[in-house]
Amino acid sequence: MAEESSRRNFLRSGLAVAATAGSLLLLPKSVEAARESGRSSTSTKGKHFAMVIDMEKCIGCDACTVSCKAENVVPMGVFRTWVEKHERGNFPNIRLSFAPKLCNQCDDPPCVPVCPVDATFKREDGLVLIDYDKCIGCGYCIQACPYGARYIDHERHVADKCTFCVQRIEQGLAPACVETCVGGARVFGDISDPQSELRKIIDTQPIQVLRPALGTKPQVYYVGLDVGVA
Amino acid sequence: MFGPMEYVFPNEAVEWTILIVTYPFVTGLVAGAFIVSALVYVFNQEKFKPVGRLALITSLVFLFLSFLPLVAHLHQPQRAIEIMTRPNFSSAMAAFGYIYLFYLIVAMVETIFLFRVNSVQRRDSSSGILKIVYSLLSLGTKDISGEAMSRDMKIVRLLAVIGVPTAVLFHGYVGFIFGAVKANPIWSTPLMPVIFLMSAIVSGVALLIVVYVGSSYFSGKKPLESVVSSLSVLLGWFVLIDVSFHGLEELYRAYERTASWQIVEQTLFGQLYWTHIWGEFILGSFIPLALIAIPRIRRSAKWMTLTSILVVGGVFSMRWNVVIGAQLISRSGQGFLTYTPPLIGRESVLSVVAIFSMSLFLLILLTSIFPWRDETKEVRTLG
Repeated sequence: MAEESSRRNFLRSGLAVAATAGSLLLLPKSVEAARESGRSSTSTKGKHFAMVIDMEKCIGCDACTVSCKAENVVPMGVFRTWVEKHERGNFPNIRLSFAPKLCNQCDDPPCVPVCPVDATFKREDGLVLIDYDKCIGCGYCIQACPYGARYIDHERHVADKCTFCVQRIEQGLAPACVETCVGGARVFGDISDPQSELRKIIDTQPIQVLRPALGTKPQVYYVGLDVGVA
Repeated sequence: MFGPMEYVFPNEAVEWTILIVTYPFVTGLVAGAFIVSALVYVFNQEKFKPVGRLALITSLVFLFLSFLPLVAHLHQPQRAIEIMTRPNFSSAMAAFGYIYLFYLIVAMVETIFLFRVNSVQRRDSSSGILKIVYSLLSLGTKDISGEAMSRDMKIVRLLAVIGVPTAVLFHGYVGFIFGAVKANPIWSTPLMPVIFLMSAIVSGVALLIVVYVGSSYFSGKKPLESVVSSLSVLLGWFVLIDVSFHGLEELYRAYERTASWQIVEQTLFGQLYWTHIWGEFILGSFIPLALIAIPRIRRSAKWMTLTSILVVGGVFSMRWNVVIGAQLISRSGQGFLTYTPPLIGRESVLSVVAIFSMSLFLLILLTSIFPWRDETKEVRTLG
């Protein structure tokens, strides 16, 4: 009997230690809620942001790429927006095709469900953002993005991508790339507002999105998207 | 028709490196070795009995090391625990924390109970640190009667039964992590968890053959021909199943020829020619199958060690092809990335060598603490 009770005591104390450690590990939700940052915004309430890019108007000047880098202090070697340039056709019947790309802020973003620690999220105003304090840098979101929009910020060691210049649009400004676009190819706005310039273009012109078959519901639309642009 | 257009997107890089090749390889070894021990303790397969304890120990060794390649790969490793404290369960990766913890507990407790009698006996005959170790491992018990041993084996059996689906989940979820990524044409397939699991069992059984032969000679005894032969037959069947599933998957792709087939084909037969055709299939599957088919070879410890090394190399190639190979394809669908693992550094060949060196060390340590040969203490509780 003595052996039984000593074993019972051993198990009991072991269980107590495990239970204490386990409860300490699980942070209460209220503490987490206090740390939530950027997951909602009052200034953009009721809006749903999107962009339309008219490829006919893009001249391949790369001003958008540069202004984005400057505005968002994007590290060397990675890009939040870029312009692909392709020569098509056979001489003398050739054309230059410019495809500005950026994060599509998808309405069904494949990068959000795969984050193991809920560091990336989609806001009500349509923006897909990253909580840099939560990101563990596993790279899953980067793998999941079909558009190559995401990258690891090698200075901050977290995932990052285009945010539609959230810091600007919350102030009522346009994203840096839109502001800078020389040809006026990029139009930004609230797609839920039927009177917005963005919505008028989308409603009246034939538009495309990148890789629609994947079901990501991208919110960056293209007028005149060239064949073979993925 | 539209002119050559080879390009990759500017942000593209091989983010999941050789460490992430190592992770599913290691978890595969865990699952495979555990299945062999389950064949003994759940399905009462007598022919594997001499290797049942060793199989559990081998599984445990790699289980202890599983988290290493993952944490080493994270860009914020100090936040690694948040996968358990703040998991987002829509992510298959979040499953890792809890499945790993649960499986670790199951495997550790099963090992403790399987060797409890040995621990009790060794506690009495040892001193110093070893005495403390064995005291802990014997869970403060002294009873080594037949009744107590029978109870031990009931617990072992229960844990083995729980452990089988857990092992399947532990490795299957990794297949899901890749298989559910629609952005990547090589990864995206419902068969991925199945292919991963089958090759996991292949790698575990093959490794166990090597470990059994090695441990036998290390302890001064010849490996039993019957055990080597039985393990080889098991290996042969699973290699066949593995090749079938993988071949089926590639056959479908080649036949259906969807838009991504062009670049996938280039990758499989171009970039990955050596690791895919030679590493995974010819050297890793077909030649071993041919060897195992010969009775004289599958009874021979030396020949089966060689065959098993080929198989294990083949499974590692498969992990390489899936993890690295798929990332070589640009999302543009029209270009390739390149990747050569550095020799030293955080995500380097040296890191992988270090992890496997640790496994050898742990294996030697655990096989000296837990006497894997001493099965006379086990009491059959069923049939």
